[in-house]
Amino acid sequence: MSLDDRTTLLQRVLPLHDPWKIFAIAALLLISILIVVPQLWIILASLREDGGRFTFRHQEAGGRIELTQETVAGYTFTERDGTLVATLSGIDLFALSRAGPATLMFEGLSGPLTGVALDANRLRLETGGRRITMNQTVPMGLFGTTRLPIAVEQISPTRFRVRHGSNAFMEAIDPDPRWTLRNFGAFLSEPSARTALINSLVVTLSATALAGIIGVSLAWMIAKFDIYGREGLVVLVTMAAVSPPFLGAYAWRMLLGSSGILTQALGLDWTIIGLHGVIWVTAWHVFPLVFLLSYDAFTGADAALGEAAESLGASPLRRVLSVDLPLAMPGVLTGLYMALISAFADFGTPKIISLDLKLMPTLVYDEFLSEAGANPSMASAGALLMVAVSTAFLGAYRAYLSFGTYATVSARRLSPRKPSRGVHALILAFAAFILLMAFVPHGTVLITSFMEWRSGVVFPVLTLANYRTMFANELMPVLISLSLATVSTAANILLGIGIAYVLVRKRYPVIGPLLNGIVMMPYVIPGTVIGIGLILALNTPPLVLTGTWAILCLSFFIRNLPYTVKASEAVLFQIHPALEEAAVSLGATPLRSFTHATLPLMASGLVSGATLAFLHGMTELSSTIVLYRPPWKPMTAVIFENTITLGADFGIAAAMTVLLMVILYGPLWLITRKTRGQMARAGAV
Amino acid sequence: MFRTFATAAVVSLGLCVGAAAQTGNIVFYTSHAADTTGPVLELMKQRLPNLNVTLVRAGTGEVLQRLKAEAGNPAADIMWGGSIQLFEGNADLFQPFVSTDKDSFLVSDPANIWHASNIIAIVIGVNTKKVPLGETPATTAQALDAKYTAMGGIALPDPAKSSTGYSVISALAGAHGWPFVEKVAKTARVLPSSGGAANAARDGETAMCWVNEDVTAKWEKDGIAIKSVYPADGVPTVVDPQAIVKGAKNLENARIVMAFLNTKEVHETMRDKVNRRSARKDVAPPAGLPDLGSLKLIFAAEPASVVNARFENLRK
Amino acid sequence: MGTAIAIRNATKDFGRKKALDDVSLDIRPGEFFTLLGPSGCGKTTLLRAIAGFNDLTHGEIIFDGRNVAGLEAWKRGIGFVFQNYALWPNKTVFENIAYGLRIRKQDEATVRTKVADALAMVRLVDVEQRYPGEMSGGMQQRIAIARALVVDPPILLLDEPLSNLDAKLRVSLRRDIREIQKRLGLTAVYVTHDQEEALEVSDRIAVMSQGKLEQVGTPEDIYERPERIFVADFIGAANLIKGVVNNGSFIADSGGTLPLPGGGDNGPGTLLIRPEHVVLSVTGGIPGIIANHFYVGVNRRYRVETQAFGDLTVDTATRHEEGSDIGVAFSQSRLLRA
Repeated sequence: MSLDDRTTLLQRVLPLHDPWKIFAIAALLLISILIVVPQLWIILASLREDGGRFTFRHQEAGGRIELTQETVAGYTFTERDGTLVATLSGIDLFALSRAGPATLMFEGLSGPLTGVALDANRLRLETGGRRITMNQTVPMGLFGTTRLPIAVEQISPTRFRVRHGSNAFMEAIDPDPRWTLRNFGAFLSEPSARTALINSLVVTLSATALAGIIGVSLAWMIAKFDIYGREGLVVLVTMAAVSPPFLGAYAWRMLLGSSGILTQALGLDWTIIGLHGVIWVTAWHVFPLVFLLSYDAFTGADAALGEAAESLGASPLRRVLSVDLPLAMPGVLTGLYMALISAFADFGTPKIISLDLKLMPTLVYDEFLSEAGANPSMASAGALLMVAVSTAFLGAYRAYLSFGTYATVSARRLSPRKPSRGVHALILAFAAFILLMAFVPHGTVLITSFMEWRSGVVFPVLTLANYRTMFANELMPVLISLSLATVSTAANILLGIGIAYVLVRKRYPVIGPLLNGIVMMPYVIPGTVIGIGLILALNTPPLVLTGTWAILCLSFFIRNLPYTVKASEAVLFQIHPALEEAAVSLGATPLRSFTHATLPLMASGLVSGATLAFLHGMTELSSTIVLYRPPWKPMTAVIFENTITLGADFGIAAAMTVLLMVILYGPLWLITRKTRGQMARAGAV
Repeated sequence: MFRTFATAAVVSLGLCVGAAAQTGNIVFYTSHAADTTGPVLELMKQRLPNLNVTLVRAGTGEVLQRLKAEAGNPAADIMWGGSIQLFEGNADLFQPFVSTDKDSFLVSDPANIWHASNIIAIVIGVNTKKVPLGETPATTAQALDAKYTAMGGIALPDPAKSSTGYSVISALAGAHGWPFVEKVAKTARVLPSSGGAANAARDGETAMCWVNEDVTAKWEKDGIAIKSVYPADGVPTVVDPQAIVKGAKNLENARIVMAFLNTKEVHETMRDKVNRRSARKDVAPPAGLPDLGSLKLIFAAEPASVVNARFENLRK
Repeated sequence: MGTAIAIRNATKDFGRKKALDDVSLDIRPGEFFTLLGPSGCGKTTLLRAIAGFNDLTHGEIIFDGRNVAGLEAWKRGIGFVFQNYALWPNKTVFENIAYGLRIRKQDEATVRTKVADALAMVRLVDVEQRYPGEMSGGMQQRIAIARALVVDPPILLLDEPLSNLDAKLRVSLRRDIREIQKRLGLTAVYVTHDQEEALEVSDRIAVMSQGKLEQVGTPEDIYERPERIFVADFIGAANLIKGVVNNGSFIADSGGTLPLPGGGDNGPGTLLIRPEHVVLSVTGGIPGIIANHFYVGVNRRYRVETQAFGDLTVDTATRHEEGSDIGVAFSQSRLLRA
């Protein structure tokens, strides 16, 4: 190896001459830590199981030791002449027997056994490398009984005696983990988990199908015909696309629940609560995605191809099915795919509207909460299952797209034709119906925010009290939401531009594909799962961030990264590399040429990407719900809490939702009118 | 863009500094509803005006799990609400506080961990739009009848996540045995939180729910179509306690607030404003609620681990 | 005469494909040197390697005796003119041109003078405050040239600078470029796929194909004395007749025989006959038929079918009817071996 070769090698390892490579490596490290590591933690947690647990009661009546079979996990027990023998992994560990009133004897069966009282109610037993903590609980009537503190007396190296409260329950936990694949089996064998998976799939597929019918047909009509108020309609649908995720569920329940406003007004005997309601609400929540991408696809397709079909004698319907739809298919499919993914991952809607029916996001959330503190193995297994399902959706989508070749470059844009009067009226009526449905939630919340709420029920009394209470007590969440959305968006844009630049312009081997792969991961990881991963990864030193503003910010950042990177890539593709090379040839350093030539041109295009990220941040719920801890409580959490908890002030939820909509739709209205197409495409992958 | 960013940066910086510099903080984790805690917090604002109060509201189970997850570095100072059994089952999460006024209470913890606040009877809240007036069930056993299932059934907060749910199941198991609970498990609609269960019955999504008596009393007063039934075959009754979290960041404040929560004035406020029965001997029961002596009271008999494991098993 | 740019064994792999395959060249100071070839032949890759925009897999580039491997593009001090002008749309014409001067931290007065001089050089007036988007392609490319030249680079690289312009503008602008290059004594490396353009402006041309150098020479060498079939075919119109050389005669595969004045070794070969070197005569020669007639302005072009040498393209001023019998003779031919 010559000296020159070695220099090259050194330069490859330490690319000091190429600041972009340094950035790419740093970005790769950063997002690996933020995205991959939490997922690894989830995988680890799903493979880990507590050593075991069991609860027994020492009954004075009859002097029996009564093991509650349902509580036994990990260990197995056999009874031999009044003695319980505890076995773990086929090895008899210790024997447990009565040694008098409120006294138990423990004896080691595979070596020494020691017992230590930890405090008045707890003792620790150690034998055969296992450590078991036991907590005594003495049943009390309403007005209490006295109880004895635990006293341990070591009799020999293998035996100790425990005095305890009369009739005490002993809850034993062996926390040392074991590695196992059982959690997946256990999760899937839970009937509730299977039902949740099926419910989720049913909801996701039906809602997407419904959204597809609504979105694609409206998009086609609007693209083909010159309809009155076309642009306005598109802007309105874009606005519907960024509704807070739980808004629809909350409003529809208020309107069409068992004692909903409309249900009562129309004297109906029905309720929207149930799977049908989740499907209905989810469909209206996700249809804008399908509409926007289909609309772009229909308007972007080369007009000549459709005309060619017609000149060959194709009937209009046949033309739609054989030319328009197939040509627009990549866009339509992308819209459907995005709808599918967000329907599957949506947490707010099922939480509010499915009552006792579980879907995957709510199940994983509930599992996680009831396992927090212990090893969240079931929640993690469920979370991985969710990621697997979304990845399968992505796989199917990609496979379908790569199946055929599609015209993507437009030669001549379709100019919409004038419909006949009757057709025009029909299309307008259809569009009006869709807009009505899409904005029913907004209207409902707006109106009820000005009405009096008592015990979670709205009364037809006009008042400003909800707003007064909100502005007096709940301004902090507004600041928190704004600061979270702003900071995470700024970080997204900064890193998003850099990563997109490296991906589009530099195409480094290994680093580039890795970076791209990891950046896109959050796209298939449901928010709830991202939240759980962050908690698992960041609740132990060296970095403890659980419960902070920062962890929420990180989550928003991660969730929006794919969108901002893709939006930046789209902008970069529009900017010719020569603009930068021109600066380089004139002596500008790489960073300077980037900031002088490329960045200023990206700025305008990035506004839409930034807006999208900001809006996502303002409306984020599914990871927020797992991550937030007061005082860092964003608006969505306040609204959500006030929507589902007992005795909460629903009026505040309504008022805050209205405030949130003002914050969302003000800037959006201004920006959408200019850059709607970019917004929609920024979401596409 | 830059300006918003700068504003946000200033705002978040301000928040951090604020949190660090403010010494008068107290953080509650509570499963109580906002309208339950409201009047006490109002009073506290007057009596302890320099305290900056933060409330984290969630189901009892969730609150407890958060405490477990945060053990060693707790965000909370006081856990407010639950059941004695849950506090005792997780005694290592709390630290003792010696009350000077222990003798004024009907019930107290020998280990000084929990401090009784209220005594709550859990009633069956019946939605009168769903259940015709003459057909209101009189006992828990009746409420499980298929007739009511057809009307919408009874909502039960998940015992694993709600202290109300745990108290109901444990008390029913103690009074009527586990076969009876099996019927509950197969009949009731199990919801993740007590709020969810109560709201479901209020909104008519279910015909009935198990719910704390003060909630239905308030609803009846607010003109909501709900009726409280104290089942003749046993009313699950719980003592609702509070405790100081082990390692509380604002320990001094926690002690002051705990002493305050134990005062007669607070207990009278709870009674007058939210219909809660006090655990103090010197505070009379709220007007309009039946005398406890007239009811057959039943209590939780087994710890949560046993109740939850058995109940989960019965639901399969 | 020294060497301004020396290229030694330049090789560039893109995955399995070799964009450049062992290319060596010497470009002399003050020379207008053209890299000519069809798209994908590697000419742009080589130009960008000279500029430093991409590196080579193997080989060296030497500027005036100095190896520039590892020297970043922004330190090479070359001027570069892009096919799509690459003017910054958000900057005025003045700021576009002034950019290189500002990078070099020249004072404002110098900047103003130099920008004015540069604009005068490319024959534009009163455009300083306009934006590139408001101007025609020809004007934009003039501005791009001014921007590249304003910093006095010793070397100017041009990457198909005229291919986005319409035919007439292309001719006038290439003459302007050549004129400026001569006046400033610049070393220019010019990439194009347009052989007419290359023949007109170049001092020397390198014809490239599939990453390899086919031939380097003056325009006359390239046109009149191509060394390979590819060059003969690519530059100008050509009749290429396959056959074998046998003892001083060329025997076409289609049967015709011609004496080879220069002789040559026996073996397979291809005979190049430019269309203008085919002589048509009604009085004798190799028999053929006028198959098609195209009127192309200066000349008439015919497709003549012969049995002996196949179809031939012929340029001549005389007029013949389609379908008429004709005699064919060759005034000049060249034997190619590869």
